[in-house]
Amino acid sequence: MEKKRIFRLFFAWQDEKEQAWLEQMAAHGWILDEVGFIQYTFRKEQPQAIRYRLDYQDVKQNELQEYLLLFADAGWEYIGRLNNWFYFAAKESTAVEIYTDAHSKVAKYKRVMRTLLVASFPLVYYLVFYFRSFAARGSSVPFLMMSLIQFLLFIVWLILMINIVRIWAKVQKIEKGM
Amino acid sequence: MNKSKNAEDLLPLTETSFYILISLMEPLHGYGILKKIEEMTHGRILMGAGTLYGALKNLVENGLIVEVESDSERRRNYQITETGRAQVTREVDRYEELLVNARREIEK
Repeated sequence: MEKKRIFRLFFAWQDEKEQAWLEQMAAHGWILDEVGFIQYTFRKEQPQAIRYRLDYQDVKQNELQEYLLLFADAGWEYIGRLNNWFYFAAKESTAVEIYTDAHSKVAKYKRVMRTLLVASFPLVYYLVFYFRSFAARGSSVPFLMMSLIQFLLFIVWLILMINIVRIWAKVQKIEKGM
Repeated sequence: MNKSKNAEDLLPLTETSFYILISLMEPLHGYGILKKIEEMTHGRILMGAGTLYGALKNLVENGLIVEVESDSERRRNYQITETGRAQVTREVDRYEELLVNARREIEK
């Protein structure tokens, strides 16, 4: 069976764009087979109208089966998982959307925001802490290397913040439509 | 009308939660709840799996429903609790008052 691997990066707030892309691939006969970090594996089949949906859940191991079974019963086939992102596909056009009210849709995005926020705390702490000792020039580590590490961490923190802000904007948009 | 507030007086239930509660007078599993609600509302409410999953978690957390033994080892069954029944009864009373008032005012 013909397979193809594509490397592509989607940020947390681009889940709808990612879904649309996967659907487009399926429309051209490339069906999502596996999901990995920044990489997607597709298998070649007939062009199909498949809907893809990404869910975000903080699901415990013992709750996993219940969660996946419920979705399967509702017509959503489980494709794969990336951290807490779950990928589902529906072949039948009759399968009901995963989220059918604004409240639960917002709840999903808030779960994402919470995780990103929590991830950003140690970064902030590190950056602030090192900025202070850095300013005191007490470190024996070469100046340039410290700067580089700090710079990279700052970029990571910035990316996290942008993600949080854009997801927050999404939440606002959904709530306005409420 | 009883106006006393007790610790179990939670906020008015959303339509979603309300329908889930009344679907669980007898034990039922997740997908069964979706189908039952679709049936009861003649197709008006088609609830999403994600929406249901979140609502079930909240209802369990608030003690309104509980997981019960099921014959299937794979699918869990849920059922309404005494607290849940009390909440539903309170809500029904509230809606009955609401309907009476609304019908009367609309007729005018």
